[in-house]
Amino acid sequence: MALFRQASVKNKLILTSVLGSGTALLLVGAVITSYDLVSLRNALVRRMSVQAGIVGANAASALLFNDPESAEATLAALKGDPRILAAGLYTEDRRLFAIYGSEPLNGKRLMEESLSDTRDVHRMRGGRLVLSRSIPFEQRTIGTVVIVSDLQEVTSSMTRDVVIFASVLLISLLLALFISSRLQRDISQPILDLAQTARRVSQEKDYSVRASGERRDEIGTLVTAFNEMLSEIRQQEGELRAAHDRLEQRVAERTVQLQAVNKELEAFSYSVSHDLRAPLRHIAGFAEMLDASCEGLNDGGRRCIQKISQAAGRMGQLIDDLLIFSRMGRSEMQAVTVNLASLLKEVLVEAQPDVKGRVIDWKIEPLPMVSGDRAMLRLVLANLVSNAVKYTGKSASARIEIGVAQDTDREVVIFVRDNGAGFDMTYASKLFGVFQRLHRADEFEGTGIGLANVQRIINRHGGRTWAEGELGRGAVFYFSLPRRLEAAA
Amino acid sequence: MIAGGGRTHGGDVASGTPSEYQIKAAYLYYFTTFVEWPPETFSDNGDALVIGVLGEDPFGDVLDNTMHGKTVNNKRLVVKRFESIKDARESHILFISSSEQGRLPNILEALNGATVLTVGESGRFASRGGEIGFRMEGKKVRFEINVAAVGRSRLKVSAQLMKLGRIVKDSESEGG
Repeated sequence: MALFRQASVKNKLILTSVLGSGTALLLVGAVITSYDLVSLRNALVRRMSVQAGIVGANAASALLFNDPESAEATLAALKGDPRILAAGLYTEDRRLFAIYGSEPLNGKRLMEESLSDTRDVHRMRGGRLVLSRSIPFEQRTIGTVVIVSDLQEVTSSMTRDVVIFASVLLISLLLALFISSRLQRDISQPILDLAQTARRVSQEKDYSVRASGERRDEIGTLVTAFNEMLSEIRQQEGELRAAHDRLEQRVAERTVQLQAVNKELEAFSYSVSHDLRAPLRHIAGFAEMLDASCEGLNDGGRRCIQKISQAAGRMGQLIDDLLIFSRMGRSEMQAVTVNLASLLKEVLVEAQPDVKGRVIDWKIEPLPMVSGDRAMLRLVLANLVSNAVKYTGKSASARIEIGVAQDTDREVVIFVRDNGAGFDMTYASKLFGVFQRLHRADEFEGTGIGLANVQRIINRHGGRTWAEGELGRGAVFYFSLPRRLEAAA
Repeated sequence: MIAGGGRTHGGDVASGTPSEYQIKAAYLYYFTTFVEWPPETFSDNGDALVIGVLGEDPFGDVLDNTMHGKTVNNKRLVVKRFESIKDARESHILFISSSEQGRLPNILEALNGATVLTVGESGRFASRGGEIGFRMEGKKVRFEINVAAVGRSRLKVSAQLMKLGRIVKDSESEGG
């Protein structure tokens, strides 16, 4: 059965019809043969019974008048029937009275073996039919005729039947094989074609092929449906590809535009920053000279000059930050293994001047090794730390925590938490924009470029930045770094 | 060989081998089944088949015992002994004793035209005009049939009986 299940459709069809016709023929053959056997045996028994009756009637007088010679002459008439091997006449007390044997020597032995009772019985044993008939005389039984006949006739007839049947079976099976292997093509070939086509479609993704076979049966329906599905898939694929292509093209166009604009913008901001520096130095320098050398100024004038100096300083800072920002976008990244813990230590040492005179509760967890550009990552940490320090400036008891929020196979997430001014989550998306500030400059000084730089650097490392905060309660800044650094533009 | 038949039909002898007359009595009984009498021979004696013995009876009671209670074709078998030849005409089978050997021609003459199966045991009974004559072959009882004599008495004798008996012809009608 398992073998059948694994067979191909073609072999299944052939096997089915051959098995079917074979079984039917076997059944018919068995029925006919056994019917033949039974009827042949019955016919033989009938004939022998008639013979025994005739012999018995003819031998009755011989029995009565005790004349075995006459009885034997009567029995000898059975010679005409070659099937009869032996016959015997028994007296009513079961003594052998007369005997006939087609082979005289065997006759007596057969008779001695045969007589077991004197009733009208027959039995078949060892290829022989033994039949006995009683001989009636005036309502009495005066003896028994026993005929032993050969079943050779039945046997040879059976043999003939079986040989004929076997030949018919063989020829029929061959015919069935021939016919079914012809006819099965009509069924299996389209299925095989369909399977072949399906295989090609699934392997080569070639939706242009079509299954062949125009027919009116279920297979035809299947083929048609299959082909329709293929056309639909092909059409959809075409549409999809066209849409995709259009999209790609649009993206490419936009990218080129964006890049151009970006470059222009960066070049512009760089040259602006750079070019702004010289006049700014002049302003700052002359304001200083004015402050130092002109004693004729009153307090109002002196205050003005100080304001000019301060503004020039802030502007210088702004220009420096802008230059760094535009450099960050363009400079080459050098990926190495960076020890974040020691990097943080350096940053904290540098931040010492800013925290002078302040009480800050630092809580620093061990940080992992990551891969990335050391200078850039240092800038990230420096920005976040200085932010935290800056925005806790007005808190009574400042606390800053730095640690690992998540460390998986794919990425590591670092957080910097403070309990400072915090921010309104509504504006969380604006935190990392250039010049975006959630606090006024006179509240907390700054240029609004620090977090933009952080985001730019982390993005170039393939990571993400985000923040959580609440006004007056503090903020948490997160950045993630992928475990495996992928070069990003 | 005849033991089965003889013993059963005789029924009066304890010993294994039946006597000659037991056998002969049985044969007389069997003859009734293989011979056909014209129907009118039964009309005047109430459907009895008469087995007669003429002359000295050699059977004793064996014959009566053998026939006792038997019927053939629904006819009772009746044994009768005759002194006179005239009375014997009514019998169907007439056993003519050896004592009548001398006047056999007269007896047969007297029975001329009667439908009687004459049976005898004297030497050459059948050839002298009797119908069936017993003769001994060693210890076996055999019989001869005079077909011509049977024909004369208008009896039909079955072929089964014919094939068992030796067929003889009338050889001396002058008698002895």
